[in-house]
Amino acid sequence: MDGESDVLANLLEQRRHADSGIVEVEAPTVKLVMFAVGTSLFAFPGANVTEILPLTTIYPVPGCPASLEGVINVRGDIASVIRLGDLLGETHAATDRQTAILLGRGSAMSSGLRVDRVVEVLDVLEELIQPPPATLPENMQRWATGVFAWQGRSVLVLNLEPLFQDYRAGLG
Amino acid sequence: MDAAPGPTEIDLVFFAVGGQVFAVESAKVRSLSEVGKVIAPAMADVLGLPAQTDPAPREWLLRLVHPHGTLAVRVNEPVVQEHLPISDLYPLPLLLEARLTLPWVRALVRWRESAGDEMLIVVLDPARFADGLVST
Repeated sequence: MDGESDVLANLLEQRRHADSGIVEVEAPTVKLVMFAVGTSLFAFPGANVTEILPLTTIYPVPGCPASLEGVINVRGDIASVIRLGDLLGETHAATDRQTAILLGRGSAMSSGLRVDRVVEVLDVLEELIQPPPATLPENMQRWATGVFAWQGRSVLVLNLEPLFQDYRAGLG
Repeated sequence: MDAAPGPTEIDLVFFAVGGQVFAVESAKVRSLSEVGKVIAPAMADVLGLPAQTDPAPREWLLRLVHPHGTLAVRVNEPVVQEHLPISDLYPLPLLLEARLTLPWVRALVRWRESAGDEMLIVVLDPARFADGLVST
């Protein structure tokens, strides 16, 4: 009788630790702010976007390139607004209720970025992000860090830091 | 020894150009008068802005202090002088400053015209205007 109990006890003990050998590995993900400009989808890392604002009054400043629409007042802070489509080679859709301004932040500078609409803020498995296609224009090659598929469409992941640097240097 | 406190207010003259409002420091304004027969460039032309023609607003002659003399330009109504707290004055955003082609654009200021909505106004620096526009 004792021997049978011992067998059961051993089996139960074995079952208790049955899962202990499995180590749960959480696949690394990256948070992305996905948005549309023209007919294409793009994304910035969440760390690059401090806020998503609805379109507000943009005050023009004379002497700026056409791609720099002007300045906005964000609760007492002033930010420039870049028409992102001009840099990405996309024609912006007509302004509507979905038009948004992303407040983008680089290491040394920040600016508002006009987009046609914010699609989603999502966590993407890093392993699903592929290298950007080699067919991208030269400047886009510097800004693009990868591409992933979303609902059958390609989304180009951009790095704001080189984009800001190039823009400051006169591109766009 | 404590440093002397800086100014807490700024005195600005606001005026319209091509349907947009601009400002200069009051200390940089030598005089404001009717245009009369004085020949002076329109500020809209100086800034590369389209002139407002429909309806054509009343013009005023603004004589501005320049390191090399006086800069006379035609501006549009309304022309308003106001004290504002320094907290309403902002330096230009970095990217904008880097891409500006007009050196006269110097700063931004929050301003509310009478009962209207608050606006962001470009502050111009007459000292940075080209010498060719200046009369001695």
